[in-house]
Amino acid sequence: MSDREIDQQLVEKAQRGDKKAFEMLVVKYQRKLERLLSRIIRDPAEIEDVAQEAFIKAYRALPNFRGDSAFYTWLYRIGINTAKNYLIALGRRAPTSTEFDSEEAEGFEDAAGLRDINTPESELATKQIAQTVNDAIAALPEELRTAITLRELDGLSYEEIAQIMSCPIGTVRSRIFRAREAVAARLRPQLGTTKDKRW
Amino acid sequence: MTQEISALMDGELEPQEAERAIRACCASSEAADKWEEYNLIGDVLRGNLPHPTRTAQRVRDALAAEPAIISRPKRVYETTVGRIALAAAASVATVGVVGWMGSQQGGQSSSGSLVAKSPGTSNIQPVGNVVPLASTVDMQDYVAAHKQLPSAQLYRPVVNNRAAPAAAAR
Repeated sequence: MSDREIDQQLVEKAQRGDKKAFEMLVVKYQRKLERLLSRIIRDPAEIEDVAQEAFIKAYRALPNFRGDSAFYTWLYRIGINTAKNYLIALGRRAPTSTEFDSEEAEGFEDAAGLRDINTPESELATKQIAQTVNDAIAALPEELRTAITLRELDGLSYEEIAQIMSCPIGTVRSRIFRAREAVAARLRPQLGTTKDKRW
Repeated sequence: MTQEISALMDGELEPQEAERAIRACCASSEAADKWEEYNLIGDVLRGNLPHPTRTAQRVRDALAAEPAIISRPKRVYETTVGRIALAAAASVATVGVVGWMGSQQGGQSSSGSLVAKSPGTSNIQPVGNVVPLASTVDMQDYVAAHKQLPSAQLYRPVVNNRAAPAAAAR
């Protein structure tokens, strides 16, 4: 199943009343949505408010989601509209529709050139998390590092990685899993340590 | 199961495996934590610097107050493709019925009665073969009995108009 099909499966589960399935989508897309919103709204607290509102709006509208577009494309539009309405309600200028074309939703990657939405107080913690992940990746055996890098950075499928690494697909799956577990083990002590906030 | 959750993130599971992994994440907080950790790692690796956020927790709290959705999922094939398939089936059915009716009429005309032949053919069967409906006593009675219906008034001149040239031809 493709990533989009997984999302569709989660959506259908949520449409049958399983809120946990929707929470999985929230976990998956919260950072991406917040980075998107940071292009429209500056204040991190407001971004959280709008992100929460967008997710709840999406949840309420789930019965109308038919899967004609990818879930994130749909969520993207809800997020943009929620942010615009939020700014209008505050009497601030909302971006024009052409500034946020929904066609770019699928390809929206949030790293490059976007505003840093960290507050000074969380900046250190953010850097520590990033440093821990990078250190953990660097410490991995080469075959695990290559596998997870090809997957996460290059977005290759297991089949493509298997061809590049000349190994069975099952081995790729195992290597990526072991890489994630190794990084998570080093990351775990740092997670959930900032009051009630999660990462 | 954790390996399945890892593969689930990558969209690399068969539908049944994916269903199992999703069910595990929905049922177990440990599995849900794995889902969260792996997503975080992916975001960091993609250069998406994380920040501590309460969004997921706030949405969880808000969802708790939301009524559960009970709706049948609408799949794409039930909508766009379904509509196209339905339209295609209706077209085929229409063509089939029209074709069948044509073949039935064709069979009757070959036995020589109802369908008028083209003027170019020499063995024209005159309209005289066709009995004018309104000229029969039964039909007159029928029309008279239904004079209150507008259609009864409409039928009479049409039949008469057709019957007149036929009579003149005779």
